[in-house]
Amino acid sequence: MTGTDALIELRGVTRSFSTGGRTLEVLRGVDLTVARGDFVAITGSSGAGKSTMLNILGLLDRPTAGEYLFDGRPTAGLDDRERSGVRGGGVGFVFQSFHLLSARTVLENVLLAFVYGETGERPLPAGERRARAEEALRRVGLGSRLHAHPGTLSGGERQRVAIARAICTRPRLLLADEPTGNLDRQNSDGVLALIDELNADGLTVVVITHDDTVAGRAHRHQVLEAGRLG
Amino acid sequence: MRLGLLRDIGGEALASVGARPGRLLLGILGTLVGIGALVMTTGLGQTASGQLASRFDEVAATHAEVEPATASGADGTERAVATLPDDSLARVSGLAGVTAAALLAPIDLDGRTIATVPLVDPSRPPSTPPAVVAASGDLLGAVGGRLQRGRMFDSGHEQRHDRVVVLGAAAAESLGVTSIDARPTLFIGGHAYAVIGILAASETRRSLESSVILPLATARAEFPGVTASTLALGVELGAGALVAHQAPIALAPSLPEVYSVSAPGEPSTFQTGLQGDLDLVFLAIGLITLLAGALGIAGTTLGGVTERTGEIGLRRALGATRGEIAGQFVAESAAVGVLGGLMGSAAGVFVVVGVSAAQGWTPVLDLALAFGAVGVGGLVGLLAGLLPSHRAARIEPAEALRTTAT
Repeated sequence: MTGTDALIELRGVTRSFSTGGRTLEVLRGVDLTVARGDFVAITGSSGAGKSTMLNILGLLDRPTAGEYLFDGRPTAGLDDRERSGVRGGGVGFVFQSFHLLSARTVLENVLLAFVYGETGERPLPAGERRARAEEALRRVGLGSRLHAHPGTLSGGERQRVAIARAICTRPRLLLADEPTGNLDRQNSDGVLALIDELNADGLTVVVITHDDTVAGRAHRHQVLEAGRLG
Repeated sequence: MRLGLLRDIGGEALASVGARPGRLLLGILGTLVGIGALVMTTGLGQTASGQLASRFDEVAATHAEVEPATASGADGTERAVATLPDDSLARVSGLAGVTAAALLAPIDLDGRTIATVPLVDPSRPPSTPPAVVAASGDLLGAVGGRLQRGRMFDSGHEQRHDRVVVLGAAAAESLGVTSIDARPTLFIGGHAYAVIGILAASETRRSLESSVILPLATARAEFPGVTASTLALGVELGAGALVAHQAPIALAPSLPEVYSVSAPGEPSTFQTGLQGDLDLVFLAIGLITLLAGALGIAGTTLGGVTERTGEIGLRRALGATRGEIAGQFVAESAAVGVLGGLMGSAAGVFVVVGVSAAQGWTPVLDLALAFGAVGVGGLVGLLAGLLPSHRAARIEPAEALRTTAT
């Protein structure tokens, strides 16, 4: 794989935390390259460092040592504004616990992505935002539930709303943290099929999971064990 | 920060504020009470001051004082250039607009004592005797006086040179005279005077409340050299200017300029001081209440930060910078402050108008205060939101996202 094909690259990334006077090394010299359009699953047991890795990939956290390149650009020197810009414009997040705002409608939850998700000088007009949000919701099969509140939706539907919110800004990377962790088998299949579809359309996907079934859907499967990627 | 983002964050702030009615109500309540108290106390203070001012204006408009003009003598001291004629009362009583007239003359005790008992007790510590003033004519009408007990001396007392006195309320208290039922006697320089009345208050000459007042004719018989220094006049409303012009002519037709006419001077100083004191007290109360309101908003917003940690994490994941998170919380807090200010200002105005209506006062309220209070509410909300917003901005997104959300 050439450097220009890679969307994300971790080079010897280490992340350690100081707690109670001792240092805990969660990630130990991790190397990982994910090409554009790839679908990578990272699995590991609890405490293996999966969430820490996702936080670093999503620029929610910084490595203690090593280098992380996003779209060929080193991220170490980026300030808060630049990192937020990369997150908002380039990364879509899907969380196990959905993270929807209960007082907002489905459509409003998706529209939230546009508030911070644009870094250009010409923000999308309100009409265009709405059109894209509705398109994303139709894509996840919720075109008829625009004005419903999250509390009235099933777990699967809530995760679909979260996916719509993640993809409506057309990010380059979809990061999913245990996307089916709170769903039953039927809803899990639906969500995974949706992620498959998005990847088939060219979206790069990294899924963090401890579920081998989920990992089996990916093109590549890497196991994180004691802070090292196998 | 681009304009669109500012609008978006403002919209988010309003949407977030509206999404939590309970918390919104708590936040608004603090500002509402604070701003309401500020507007209400300031408004009531202004109304009360206005009421006092109108009362004093009324007093000033219905009373006047004529005094001989003064000039500097060769030794630099101020001396009167004329005296008030003995028949001053008769000269001014017929003037149009004059409702009452009285002559006032200060009396120099020249070492004489004033006591309610004739004994001289050497062991008793020396005390300053009250001032003694002689008066004739309709003193109550001329100085806006009101009796607490008894009666005022009249022309009969004057003609007979009766030894009678009326005590100002403060003077009576200092002399230990609480009632005139037992026909108390006052000894001035060893001579007995019957106390026939107690003066409760005087609108234009508060010094009379701490004085011993006796008939001018009696004083002239007892104390040599007593000269009237002031001619106090009661005038009809609107006749002040006419009386001021005519009174000096009536007193000295050939040389009226030797007299000066003025509105009573004592209350204006009193009025200014009282208004200032009232304004200060009410402002202090309002500001203290407002501070309590600000602390309420800060507490509510701070609670909101803790409650919304997961949401903060989500917004950070969606691309919000620390500054944008802080900005949203400040905007939310300011919006709560504006809402509270708006409601508090309206409530304050309502109370001021209601109290004024109940008391029969004219409500006085600076409109700039009523409208400015809304801005003050916003400013208080904004300031109260600074600490919580700082705390919200410092939350690490990775930590925040561990919080379970819907």
